[in-house]
Amino acid sequence: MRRGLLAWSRDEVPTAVFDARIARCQAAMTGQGMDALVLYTSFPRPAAVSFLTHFVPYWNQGALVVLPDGAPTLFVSLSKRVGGWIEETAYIAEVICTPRPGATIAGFLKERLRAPKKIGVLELSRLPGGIAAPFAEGITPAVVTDASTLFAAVRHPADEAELALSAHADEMAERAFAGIGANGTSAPLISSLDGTLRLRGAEEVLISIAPDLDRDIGLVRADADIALGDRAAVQLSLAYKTHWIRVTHTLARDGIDTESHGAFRRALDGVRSAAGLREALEGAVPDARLRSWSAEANRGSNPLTLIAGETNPRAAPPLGSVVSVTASYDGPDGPLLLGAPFVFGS
Amino acid sequence: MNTLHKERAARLLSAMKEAGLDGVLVYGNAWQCDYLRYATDFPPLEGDALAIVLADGETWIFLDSPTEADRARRACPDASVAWSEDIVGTVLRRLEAMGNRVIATAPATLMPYGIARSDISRNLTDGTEIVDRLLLNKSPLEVDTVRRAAAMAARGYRVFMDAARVGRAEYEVSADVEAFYRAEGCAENFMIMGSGGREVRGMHPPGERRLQAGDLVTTELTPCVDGYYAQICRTLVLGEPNAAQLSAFDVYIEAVKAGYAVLRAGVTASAVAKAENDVFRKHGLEEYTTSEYTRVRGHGCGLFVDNKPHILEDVDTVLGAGATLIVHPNTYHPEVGYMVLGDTVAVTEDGYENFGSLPLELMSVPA
Repeated sequence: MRRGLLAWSRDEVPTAVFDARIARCQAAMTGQGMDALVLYTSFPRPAAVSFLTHFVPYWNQGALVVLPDGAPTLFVSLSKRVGGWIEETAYIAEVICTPRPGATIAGFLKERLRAPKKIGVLELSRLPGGIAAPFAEGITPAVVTDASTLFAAVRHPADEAELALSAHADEMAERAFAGIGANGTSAPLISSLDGTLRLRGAEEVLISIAPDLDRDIGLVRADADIALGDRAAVQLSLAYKTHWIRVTHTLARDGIDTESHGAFRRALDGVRSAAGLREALEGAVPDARLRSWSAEANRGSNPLTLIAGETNPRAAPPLGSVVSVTASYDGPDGPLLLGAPFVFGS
Repeated sequence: MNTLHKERAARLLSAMKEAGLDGVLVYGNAWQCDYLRYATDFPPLEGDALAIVLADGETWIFLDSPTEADRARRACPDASVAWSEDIVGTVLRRLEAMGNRVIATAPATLMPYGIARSDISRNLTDGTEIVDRLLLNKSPLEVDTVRRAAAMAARGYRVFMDAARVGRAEYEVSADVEAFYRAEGCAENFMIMGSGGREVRGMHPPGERRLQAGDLVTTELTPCVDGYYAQICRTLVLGEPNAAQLSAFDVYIEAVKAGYAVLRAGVTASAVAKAENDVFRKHGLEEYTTSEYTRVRGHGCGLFVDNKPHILEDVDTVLGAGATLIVHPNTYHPEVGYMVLGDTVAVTEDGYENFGSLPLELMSVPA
């Protein structure tokens, strides 16, 4: 559940940033002869719309409609009373509150475009039926096509604002980890991390834990207070001003394993290729053998999506994208779980 | 499989048999996972999740990330778990492999379009109402879990009162509440709030506004215990409440009590809403019972923060024994601003059980 600070800082993300992102989108649409682009948003899938507008729904769902020219329009199943909050926290010129976004968007497009021919929808097959069915019916005879590849192409490389926000989130995470140890049980540890990060302005904090690394390296959500082993791992998935990163640390009773983590981070510096990423991870931690890894970045409505890993080791994140890498190792003192964000190809 | 889920699984299989279904296909995500959790006991943290449960109990869970799949395998060892970036395609292939079976989907509004528009959809029926009935009228064990969540909500509200001090930002107050819940092993909580005076028209996620003396600070806290949510709504004054605030709040106290008073098995959501709204009408405040000023007059609480039914005068859902809901006449008052009040209750054969443990009054802390 999102319960942290949802606020738009014009200093950290000036309106020009969104104008440039929307312009990239519109240029790609024009290149493909697309009359409109529809991007879904909801609590678990806010990332595409927040990238273009900073809007993050704390409740219900909606969609952003981008036309080839002009500012986008947001359609949300929220009360009109929330309009002021949306204007305060997001860069949106026009907000239409409607209980039936699918039919309303179709009507809007027909009115604005007269005879739309080609409408792109991000992640078309995943669009909820309650929105998709009335939209598809209402927009006939226009062709509705999947626009996921188009959006993924305009999503990267990261601009200066994204780099700064991601770096800030990374720094917040590392500061929160300082002084934390695998002592006792999970609840005080998680409470400390969660509370500290929210006090520092985190938008969302998801914490997963491997409570006893020597028994199991799997990360679980702590739905109860779990006894910690001598060594544990904690993964923070942290959102700050709509940008998400993951940081994973291995903890002993006396604190985090800074040596291994430092080596892991240094190994990622300057990686520019899929092969290079795997190679860097294999040699990252002295005397440790790489067991598994994953590289995640944003490219659609999910905040983070798997880009590369054991199942697709040859896939490379886009150059200049912010990538969160997580890896497990067999180390001399037992298993290690490590993770950090970095800029691919920087 | 834990006792709660064993019981749910048995009820689901029984409902499927009664409806002549070979299986159900359910959808869930980190925001709304009630249908999915009822069928599988798995709450996703990120991404989309779909699950197929067959009449013999065989269960498939489909996720769009390997991390979530790894979590699901640990949480649901009896289920077959698969992950794919193309989660819709994977589910369709599984359904095709099952052949000509009658599968019900739920909830229809959230079911991915790729499934609804596929050839396989000829075998699919809308099973939302079947699962809705199970979600609404809960077993004693489920009701007890909601009771425990309500106790958690009340404890969290005490923390909220301690945290809401003049000069603190809304998000700092919420950080204290969330840290408390995590310390209690409570992984989920839905919380919105508002602060200020007559200019405040509702609640929203915590923002940067700093609390001031005399503020009305509203909140609803909705912690989750073993998958079940319970909610508390209260209004807090920073400083001594003034006469106008006290007088206005009396309407909310009267309305919430009126809502409680009609509760018993067989009553409709509409009747509860009407009882609450009639109090506002009596005080000349009818305008403030409309959607211009308020969303609902309460709602179901259970495996989702905002379960059906919505307590509105045009909702004729019948509440049975075991229905758990919050009655909250939250709305704007023209003299003082937005006010909230309500606790989670369970409907019984001859009345209701109120899980609230805090007084039904305008709360205050020294400024």
